[in-house]
Amino acid sequence: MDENIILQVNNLNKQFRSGNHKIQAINNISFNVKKGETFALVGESGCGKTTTGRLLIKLVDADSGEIIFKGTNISNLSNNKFRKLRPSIQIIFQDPYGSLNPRMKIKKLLSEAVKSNTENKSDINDVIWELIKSVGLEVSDLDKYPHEFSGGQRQRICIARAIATQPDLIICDEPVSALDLLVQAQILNLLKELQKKYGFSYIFISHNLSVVRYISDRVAVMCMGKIVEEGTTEEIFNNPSHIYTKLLLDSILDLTDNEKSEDLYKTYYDDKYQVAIDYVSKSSSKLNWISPTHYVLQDI
Amino acid sequence: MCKLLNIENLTIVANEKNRKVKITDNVSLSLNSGESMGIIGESGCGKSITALSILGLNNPNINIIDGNIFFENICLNKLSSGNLRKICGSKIGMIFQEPMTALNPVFTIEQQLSEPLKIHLKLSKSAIKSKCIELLESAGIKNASAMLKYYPHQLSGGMRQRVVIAMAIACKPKLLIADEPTTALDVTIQAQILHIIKKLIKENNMALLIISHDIGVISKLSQEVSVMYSGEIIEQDSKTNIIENPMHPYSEKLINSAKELNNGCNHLSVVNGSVPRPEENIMGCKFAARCEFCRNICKEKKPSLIKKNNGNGYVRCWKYINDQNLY
Repeated sequence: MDENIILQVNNLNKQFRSGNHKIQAINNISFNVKKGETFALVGESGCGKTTTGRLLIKLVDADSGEIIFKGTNISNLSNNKFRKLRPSIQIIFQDPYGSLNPRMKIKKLLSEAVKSNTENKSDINDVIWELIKSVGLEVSDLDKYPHEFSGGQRQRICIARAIATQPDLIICDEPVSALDLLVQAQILNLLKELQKKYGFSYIFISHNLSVVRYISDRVAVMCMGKIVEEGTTEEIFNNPSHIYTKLLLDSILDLTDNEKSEDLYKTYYDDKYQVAIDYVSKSSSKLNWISPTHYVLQDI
Repeated sequence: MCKLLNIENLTIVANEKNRKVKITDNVSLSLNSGESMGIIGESGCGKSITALSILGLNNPNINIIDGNIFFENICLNKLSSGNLRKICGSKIGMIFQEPMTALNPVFTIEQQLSEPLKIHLKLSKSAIKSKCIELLESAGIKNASAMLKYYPHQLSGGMRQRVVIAMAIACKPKLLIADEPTTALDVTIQAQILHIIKKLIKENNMALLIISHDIGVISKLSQEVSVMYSGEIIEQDSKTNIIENPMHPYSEKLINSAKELNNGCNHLSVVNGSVPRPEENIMGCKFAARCEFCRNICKEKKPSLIKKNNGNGYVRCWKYINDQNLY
């Protein structure tokens, strides 16, 4: 196996059941993440991107398939054994309001994460100071409770907690979608800076194509539990080849007001959306390779 | 010519336990019939509160302490709630942000959609049903007659938002207020909904007041744009001027940030710091602490909203006030 690959996912499946109703949330997906890169999963709500993130850290158990993290197959690891690996995979959640314990001071929140990873208990304070400064907050903020912070600041705290264990892989599940535009820019730049400094890999889950284009090196487009197209960011944005990817890219709202986009609006969406969805549901699992790094799902 | 909607110097405060917090400060807006205006700003800047106060829907501890809202020369904030209800729904329609909570979960779509028709238009039973189907179809729902029997939980987010739109336009209002109509929706659905709103306001010659944090949404639907920051309007101009030539340093940052993301550049420009809290008492310009052009005067005295030299827009910034005595 390529030494640069830190995460390899093979033929992952997950089905959810409610009574007699079955939903194939994840349908036979495979991908890999290399060291130090940002791999994005894009798609609309319900396409399975968040479920994928949860499967990777075993918040949900997969039905079948392999998840190989740094050479270990974690998909059939017992919970106890997985806990030992867990500091090297972290997750940042979408909602910075729901993911911090409201009754813990920031210091406690961070020290919990740091303690889980270090043997040396004496210099915990130094580590925490270093952490809080690296995400752009003040040391005096350590004695505050989460409610005293704004949404953007809370997301910084979540990031500090995630990097506290010096992970190899951070799963970012819609980390900026609850934030305002200017705050979003601050957080995206922070994520990029930290990656440069510490060299971890990100799996970036988002529905926002502009954000994905800015932050990621490679992109996988998901629809109805399948990866319909995967390639480098340039390949996906300059040469979208699957009908669903094209539809997603067309729905980015541009600020220029030209006639062409008006016409597109009139005829495009109502019909094309259904066509694209039908197309994905019928497509086979064969891959059509356009370049060594770029493939689309082949139709039947 | 009389304006359809005229908001004059609206100042709204929230009464908390032992203090009053100003949420909007001297907000003025006006809209002629058939025109469209967008309000853009970050969360907490007072844009939704302004829209909700038109319909008197604000929380009881949020009061208008100064200013008036005129709709066709009727002062809405002085009307009794009974008289206000005659105007809301029939002459002013509202599309809310959350299609999940805007519909009542225990009534069918038909029951909810027929309510405004029964109360405001006083249609007969058979007329109501055909009107309901017509409304749903105009909002882009294909199997409208089957949809009438459904409950909200049986519909997807996009379908629910279409039902909310159908309800808002049921009585052919003269003014449609849309408060973040697509924020809860996916991008492909967002494109469909924006197209439907655009089509409907054109067909029915409605005026539109759209509130959003997304300049992309605003640029698709409105001719005029107001930028709000921390409870104040800081710039007001035509859409083209705001997007191509924003003058206030904050609008500039906001528009550039959106442009940079859309064009796929390598580094986003960042404004440090965050929006001031409403309870902070700021003497000067509210953006001063984050502004790269900040001078002494900016921290000491609040700039007023002045007319731009070129064109009809307004901007609130000391940069454009040419008074030599100030420095």
